[in-house]
Parts: sequence; C-alpha cells; structure tokens
Amino acid sequence: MHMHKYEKIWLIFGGITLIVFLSVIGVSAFAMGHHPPSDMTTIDPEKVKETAPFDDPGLKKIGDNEYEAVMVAQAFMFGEPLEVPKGATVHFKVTSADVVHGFSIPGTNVNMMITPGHINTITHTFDEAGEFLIICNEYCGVGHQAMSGRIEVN
Amino acid sequence: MAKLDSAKSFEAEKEHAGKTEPKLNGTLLSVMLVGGFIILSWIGVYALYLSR
Repeated sequence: MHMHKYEKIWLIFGGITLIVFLSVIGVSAFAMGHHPPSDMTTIDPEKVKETAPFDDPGLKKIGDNEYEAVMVAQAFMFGEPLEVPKGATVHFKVTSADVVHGFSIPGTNVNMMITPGHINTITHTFDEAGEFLIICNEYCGVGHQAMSGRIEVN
Repeated sequence: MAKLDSAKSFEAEKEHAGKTEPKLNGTLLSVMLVGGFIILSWIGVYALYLSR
C-alpha cells in the first residue's frame, strides 16, 4: 500500500505519543501506587456507628508525623475539625452513613466519592501550613451547600 | 475513436496521479499543531497532579 511520507510521520508521532502517555500512567499506577480513591473494602451502611474503626471516628497517630483520619460523612457534616502538624501524612478513611457524599479538599489532589457501603481511602501529605476546607461535591440533600469540614495544619 | 481517446487520457491521468504526490504540507502542520496542543495539555494536567 502506498502511503505519503507525511502520513507516515504523523502516524509514528501519534503512536509514540500514545505509548508514552500509557507508559507514564502504567508506571505511576503499578510502580508508584497511584490508584483511584476507593477500594473493595465494604461495610454495612446501617451499622456504621457500631463497626470499627467508625465507632470511634477522629484522628489517630499511627507513625512519625503520620495519621489516620477516620471520618463518617453524613447529612450534612464530616465530623469534628482535624488538627495536624505541618508535613503530616494523613490517611483518610471515610464512609457514609446515609447517601453518596463527596470528599474534596480544594487545592489538593484529595477528591473522592463517599459511597455508602464502601470504605473510601486516600492519602495526602500536608506540606503547607494553613486551614484546609473539606467540601462535599456530590449533591446529597437540602443541606448540601452547608456540608463542610475543616483541617488545621500548623 | 472518441471512446478510445477518452480511455487513453484516463490511463494517462491515472499514471500521472500515481507519480505526483499530493501536497500535504498544510495537513502535516495542522496535525502537528493539534498533537502539540494535546501533549502540552497532558503535561500540564499531569504536572498539576504531581505538584499538589
């Protein structure tokens, strides 16, 4: 089959670009551990308050400047404000006691859906001091616009 | 005779078309511009993801 020289150029260019994009995503997923913020851990959404660790939500120190934040999202709150030192790595473990909520910290990569029946996890390192907002970005009911939480990094 | 002539000129045209390549300079430039835009956007989004 005859093909124009330029046609070969842009087909090779497109092919290489695709390979590079997919390789970067593949390496970051399999070698660097980047993955979507939900796992296959499930929970009975009607028994959230009796099921560990959600029977005792809050911040727990699990290592050197490393914390686990166990949170229950429900209409229309995220729980008590959190306070962590600068540079802290926080593993958020969140579930919903009622409907689907959003869990987003503007200015960071933290952005996940909180689905009832699932335990959603995401990790973030707070390298800058300041006050961070947690907002619900999935419409969850009449009080949705007032649903927010706070993280104090100092 | 006329029929033969037209058939001949068709053959000649076919031959001619096969030998000269169409000019695709503009197409190449357009494809590369779109490709460049896609690559720059991709790098921008990925850099934003890594930096936050």
